[in-house]
Amino acid sequence: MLSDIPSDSVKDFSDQVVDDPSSLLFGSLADFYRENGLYQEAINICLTGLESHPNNIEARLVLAQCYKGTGHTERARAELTKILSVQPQNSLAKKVLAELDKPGGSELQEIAISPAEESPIHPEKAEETPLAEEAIPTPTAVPAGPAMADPSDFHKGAQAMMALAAESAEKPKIEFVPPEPASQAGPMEVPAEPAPEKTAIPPKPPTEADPKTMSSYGRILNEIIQTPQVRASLLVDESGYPVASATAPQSAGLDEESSGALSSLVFTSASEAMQKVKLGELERVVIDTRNEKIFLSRVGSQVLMVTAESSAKTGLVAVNVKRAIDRIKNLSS
Amino acid sequence: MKNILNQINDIPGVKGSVVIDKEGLVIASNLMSGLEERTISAMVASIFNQVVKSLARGQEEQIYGVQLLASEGNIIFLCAQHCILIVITETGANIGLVSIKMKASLEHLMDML
Repeated sequence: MLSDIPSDSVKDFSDQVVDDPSSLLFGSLADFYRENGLYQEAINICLTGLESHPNNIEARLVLAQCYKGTGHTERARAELTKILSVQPQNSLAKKVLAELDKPGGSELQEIAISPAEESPIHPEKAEETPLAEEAIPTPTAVPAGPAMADPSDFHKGAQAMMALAAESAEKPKIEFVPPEPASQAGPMEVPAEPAPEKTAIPPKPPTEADPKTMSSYGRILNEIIQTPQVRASLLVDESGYPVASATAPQSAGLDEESSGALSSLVFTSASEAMQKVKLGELERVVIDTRNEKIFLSRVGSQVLMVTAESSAKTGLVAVNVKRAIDRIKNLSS
Repeated sequence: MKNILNQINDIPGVKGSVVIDKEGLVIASNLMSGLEERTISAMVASIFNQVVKSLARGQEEQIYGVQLLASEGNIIFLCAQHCILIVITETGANIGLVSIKMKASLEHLMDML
């Protein structure tokens, strides 16, 4: 499957990353590498980027997943512990940590990590979904070599990205300009494999979802909180279960369970009420309080909650939330 | 009070305005035909109370206002100590302008009540 990626798509992604001046995107790029099994490259990007942005939770999470994927469980655990010390509610970090704690959670032998080495092995993906199992070559099936059709395209992007990261290390934070949906990067972004049981049985807690999709959700929510004065973002399903969340480092933790349940409740009630007065389908609720603004937005059957300071620019938050909604919808489709 | 509501209704895209108490009882209204003031009032009071409970602070004065934006129209309400000012607009109405006018109107209403 990896060799089927059009090199144009890869290049587009690299160019897209390079064109974006926000160096915080190194986490996304590293995650893209990770998703394609290029753990070593992803680790190098994360380590370099984290020197400039040590508080970038997304990159640290990608790093932890890479360590897990390469069998370096202790390093993965250390990174996850750092994340949870800052964001105790980070559900993805908790999930990865729980997987590490499972017996056989990391089935790989420790693989020596050297900067020059490329690892085409995809142990994590092989564990994730049957689709991945079928499509991704295992170490025994494929001889060692580059997994991508043309990894040099990735490398160009990565090098340029790192240059930008180093360049902007001392610049003030740039306002959030989300990248194009990662799913446009090519067929590698296979977030939601249609799972028949999702419609057949009651909704499951989000931790049961495809880890790759979860990671993409987390990335999108993390980008929302880059918006100035935004404190937290939380995606909940129609039953009020939290699907993914992100909290700005300087903000207090978010109680995902209760916030999720209440967001869903308020949105559902308001939605029913709007239909009663024949004003159509409710798209967004903005609650303005003394201390904060709360944005509840419909994302298909899910609700996206974003909290911001009361002085936050409603329009800016709304624009970024709308972009995030579009990206989440792309993931779901 | 009617004059205040008329001024709000003069803004392009506004379909009507209502003043209610916290229990949902109508104090004054000026709605276009097709809008049922009792339904809207009860619905807004219900949502307001639910939001108050959801904030888990038990302090309704914490809430300044709520905007409900739907595919065929919007409902905006601002809260004061004893009343809630509700405005119904078409989609595409200038919400910012409506909000500014509502804030000014609410101050007048508070003086009256």
